[in-house]
Amino acid sequence: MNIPVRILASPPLSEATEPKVFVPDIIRNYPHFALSLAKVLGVPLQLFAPPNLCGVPGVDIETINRLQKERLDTLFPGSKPVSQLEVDPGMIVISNSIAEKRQPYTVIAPRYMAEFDPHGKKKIIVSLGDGQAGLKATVFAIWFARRVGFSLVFWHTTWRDPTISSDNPQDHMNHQARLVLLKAQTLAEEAHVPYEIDIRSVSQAIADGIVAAAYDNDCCLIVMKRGDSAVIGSHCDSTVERTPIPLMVVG
Amino acid sequence: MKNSRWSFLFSPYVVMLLITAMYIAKVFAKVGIGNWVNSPVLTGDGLHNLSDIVEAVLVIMSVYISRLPKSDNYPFGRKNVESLMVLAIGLSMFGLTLQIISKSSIGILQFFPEADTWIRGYLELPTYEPLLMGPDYFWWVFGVTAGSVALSGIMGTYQIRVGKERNHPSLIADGQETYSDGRIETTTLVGILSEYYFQAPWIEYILGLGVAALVAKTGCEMFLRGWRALLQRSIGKETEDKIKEIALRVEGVSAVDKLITFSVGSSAICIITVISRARANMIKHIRRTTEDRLSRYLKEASFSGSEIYVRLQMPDPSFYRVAEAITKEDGNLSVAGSLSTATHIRVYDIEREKPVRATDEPITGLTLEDVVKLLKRKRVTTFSIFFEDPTLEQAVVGAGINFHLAPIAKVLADSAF
Repeated sequence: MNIPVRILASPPLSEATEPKVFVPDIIRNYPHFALSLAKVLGVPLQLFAPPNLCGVPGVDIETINRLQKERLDTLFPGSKPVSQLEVDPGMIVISNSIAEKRQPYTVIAPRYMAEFDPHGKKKIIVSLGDGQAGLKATVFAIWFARRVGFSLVFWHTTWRDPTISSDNPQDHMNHQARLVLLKAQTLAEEAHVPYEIDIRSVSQAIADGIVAAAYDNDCCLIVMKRGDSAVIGSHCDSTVERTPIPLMVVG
Repeated sequence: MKNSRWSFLFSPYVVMLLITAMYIAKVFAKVGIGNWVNSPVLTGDGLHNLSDIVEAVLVIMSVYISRLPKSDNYPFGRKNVESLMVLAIGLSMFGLTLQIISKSSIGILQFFPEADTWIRGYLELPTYEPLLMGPDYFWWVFGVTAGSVALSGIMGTYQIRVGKERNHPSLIADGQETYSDGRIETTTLVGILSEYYFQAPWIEYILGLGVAALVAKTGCEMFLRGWRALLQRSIGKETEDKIKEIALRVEGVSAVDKLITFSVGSSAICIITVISRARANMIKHIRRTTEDRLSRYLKEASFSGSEIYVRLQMPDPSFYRVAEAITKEDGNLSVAGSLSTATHIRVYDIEREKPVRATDEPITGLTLEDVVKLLKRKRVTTFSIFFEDPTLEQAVVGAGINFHLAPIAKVLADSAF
């Protein structure tokens, strides 16, 4: 039987922070994804192995912890079991189900990918709108891209402005969206992360648009952030529902 | 050119009308001059061009039929009519090869009278027709033959180019045949020149055998192309392997279940069934991306077009049961350290590597034998417990059930999240 796992990682938003990958729960079936992601990111893997709450007569908790450590080390070489579940607001949780909920921490939904294996697709697509959420996603995406040597694709979808005759979707972007795009470009340039821009007119549901763009641009990861203003649903929620490509929802 | 006022020259019908006109002109010129100079070679070549006119008309018909739209009765269209034409032209080129070999061999044999007589004793060969050449006729014969060579080269190239641009294999095949005609005419021209200047007509016959080999090769390639398309042969293992590789790299696809490929005309048809656990609202993305990527690849693999049909299928549920000994105590739950501390056996139904159902079977007071019987009755394939227990392991394994030490004391379906 496969041993299911999740990863929690703490990506450093500043270089001073020590990154880590943390597996809080051996329930879901993500062992290979967890291991491959930790390997690609070059960060250690931590596993959450809670103590046996019922205890075993004649066996102390240290023995149980030691056995758990040995067995998990066999399954996930180099991993470190942790008996306390500490949720750090900066860490990445790897879980399909958690990505569907509004959470304070960052989540990667692997969807149906057994491994984080970019297969030479070294691109991350970032969804930008006209708010700050896209920029926060960009910061995370830049961290990820720098760590693994990927490039970024800044994606934006825009409604057609009937007063503008141009067929170029970029000409139909509103002022605020242009500022966000410009800021994202500046952030990428400052971090020396290569990027491309993909601006499209809205022709389908926005979530479908970003999934289509991710496929078209050969991206191995979508990065988004839920907008703070959304009170019911979000583009993130819809994208989680629709994407077979792994999605990172920034917390 | 395509968007200019000369774009009509890229219409396959215009091409074939010009080709027909060329052959009519060749027939009149070759037969006329051939009769005048009493040259059976030139006359025969002119009469051979009559069959090219018939072929041109057939190509026009096949182009017309192949362009008819798809219908319920012809879901892939009628492009294979061109494959039929390619097959026919390929066969006709074998005939042409035999004709050249025969003429060249007879020409060579007349330099060895004894061998000629000996062979004719066993085989009924056509009479040797020498090229009749005199200084009065030379420039007429030379002009007609050289003009034919030039026309065949130019028109053959033109046909092949338009055939490739407009995706008409029959036009390409006919263009290759026109080219072959040019090669034959070139040997005739060499024969005329070698006869006139060196009195050495044998050069023509030796060259003729070389041309026969080239024509046979082209004919063979055409025949195979038409044959394979008509019999819907797969487009090749190497291409199919690459198709599978591309499909597997589409996120959401876990395996390729079935792949059927064949050609219709010069287009590839690809029917692929992939295994995916994707939800309904993800399927369209997987299908579109697979179609786009395969279509791009097939174009690179020199198919003029492609039709991709992607079917998605859920993986086999691969149902099985696993169980673990658990301890329930004061609302707490953990994997039991040993059978003596276990209160229940939790039996999981696993589908697609995911627990979909679990039941707790109380075991307090049961003997080891009873527990093993319970596991057998529940069709459990793997049983887990936390600590090693050789007696338990022996009994479980002896019943044909895998024994497994749980990696952590946490119960399988009791998630912290």
